[in-house]
Amino acid sequence: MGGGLLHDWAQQIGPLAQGLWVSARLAVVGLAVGLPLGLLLAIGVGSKGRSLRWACVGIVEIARGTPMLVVLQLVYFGLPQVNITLSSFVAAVVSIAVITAAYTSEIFRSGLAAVPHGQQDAARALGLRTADRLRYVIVPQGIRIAIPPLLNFAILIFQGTSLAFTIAVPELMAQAYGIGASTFLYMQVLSLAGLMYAAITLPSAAGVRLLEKRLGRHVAAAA
Amino acid sequence: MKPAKLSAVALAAVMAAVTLGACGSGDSASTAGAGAAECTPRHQFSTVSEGELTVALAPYEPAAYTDSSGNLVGIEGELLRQIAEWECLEIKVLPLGSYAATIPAVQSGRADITVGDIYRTAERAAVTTLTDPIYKDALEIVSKGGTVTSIQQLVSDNLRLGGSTGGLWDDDFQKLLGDNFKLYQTFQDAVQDLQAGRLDAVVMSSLGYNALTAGVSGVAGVMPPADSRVTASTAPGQATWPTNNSNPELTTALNADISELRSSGAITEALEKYDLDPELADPGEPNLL
Repeated sequence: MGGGLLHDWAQQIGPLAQGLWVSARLAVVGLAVGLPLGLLLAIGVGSKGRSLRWACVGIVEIARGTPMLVVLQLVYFGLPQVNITLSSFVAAVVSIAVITAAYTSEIFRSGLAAVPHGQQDAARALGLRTADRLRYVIVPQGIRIAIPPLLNFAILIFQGTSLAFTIAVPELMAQAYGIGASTFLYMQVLSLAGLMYAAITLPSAAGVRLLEKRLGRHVAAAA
Repeated sequence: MKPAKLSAVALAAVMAAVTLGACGSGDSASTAGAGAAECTPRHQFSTVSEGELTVALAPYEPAAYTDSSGNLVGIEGELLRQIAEWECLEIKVLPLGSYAATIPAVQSGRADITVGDIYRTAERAAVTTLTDPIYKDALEIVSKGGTVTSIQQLVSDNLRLGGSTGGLWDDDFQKLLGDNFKLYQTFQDAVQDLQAGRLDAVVMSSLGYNALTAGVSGVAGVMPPADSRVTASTAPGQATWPTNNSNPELTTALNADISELRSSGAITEALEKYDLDPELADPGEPNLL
């Protein structure tokens, strides 16, 4: 039985690896678009301007309240109703970017809020304008605080790319289901797909823990 | 004294309840036995749940799906209802949504069979036991206005084709068309993309054509000429019911019942009821694609 399973996996790993590459690209591009938007939303939510603040809060709450599966369906199948037709990959990137922006805005907001108030006061005392205070003092420190939870979120997004199967993106789960449908070896191929996801997420999670320790070294030393 | 007496009374009450319950069970069993005496199954085989034929279902209209009351209907639903009557069974539907769940349900012993225009292939026969063919099905290419009429046209005109995961033709079209062939979770999604202009054609089974394109204007289906590059275009698919490998008696019984349904014309009737070509009732000799 072991030999049979390994033989099956040897035949399945080629197409699954192609799917894994698509999943990885999807995650990277989606995060690359979504993270800067999340930072902008975080700054907007903390803005003194009421209209901007409420607009950003509205966007964040609606996007966070909508499951990614629904966002994917709306972007891919809904937008053509208003003559915006995106390819599967682009639609998936847009959906991931929307979800990433909404969720990471809260992570960024927490990071920015965690910057000691003394830093803000000192920057103000030096005569820095608001934009310069944010750019040179607050945001760099806030991002450093936010990096570990952001990386954990990135790992979740990578796993979440499996939902892109529903809009015909040939990612890892799509490949796995295709092989399962032909061979009826669903358990074998889904197990292999699970191992391939773990091969990415487990080292990534370990890397995040190491990074957390390294980034917090100066705090531990001061204490 | 009093606590001891109370304990004795409580114990007696519990034992009485257990005894009465056992008598009740005996009565249920005898009722079932009496029921069984009125209905003699044509064949002997075991099922996942006694007295029930558990059918794992991923709905595929018109092959097998449920009505608003949850009853199994469709071509295979009609046939299974007749078989259940012959074998003194109630049909229990296990709605699982996709073949990725229904096949493992059969393999793991949670369901007796699964349904839904599942084709007989050598790969599938290696991991489940397939019944004899029930009816045949063919590949159909659907496009706007029926303008795509052959597999060669898909290649020569660099057309974009969509299909749903699990089609017998998936691998062949993938090799032939490369990135121009896209797989969707359902045929409905592929048809939606045809309408949105992301696809030039959709490949589907001829069985599902009417149901999948109902309410969709401007599309038409064509059965393409045989093309050796796509095996499914050269030989029709044969619909089957996969069963668990460890229940050969069930498969033997189903094969006998399928044979009787064919000779009595029931399969033809079921196909005609759903506006399908009665010729599909003759799948030919069993083969494995």
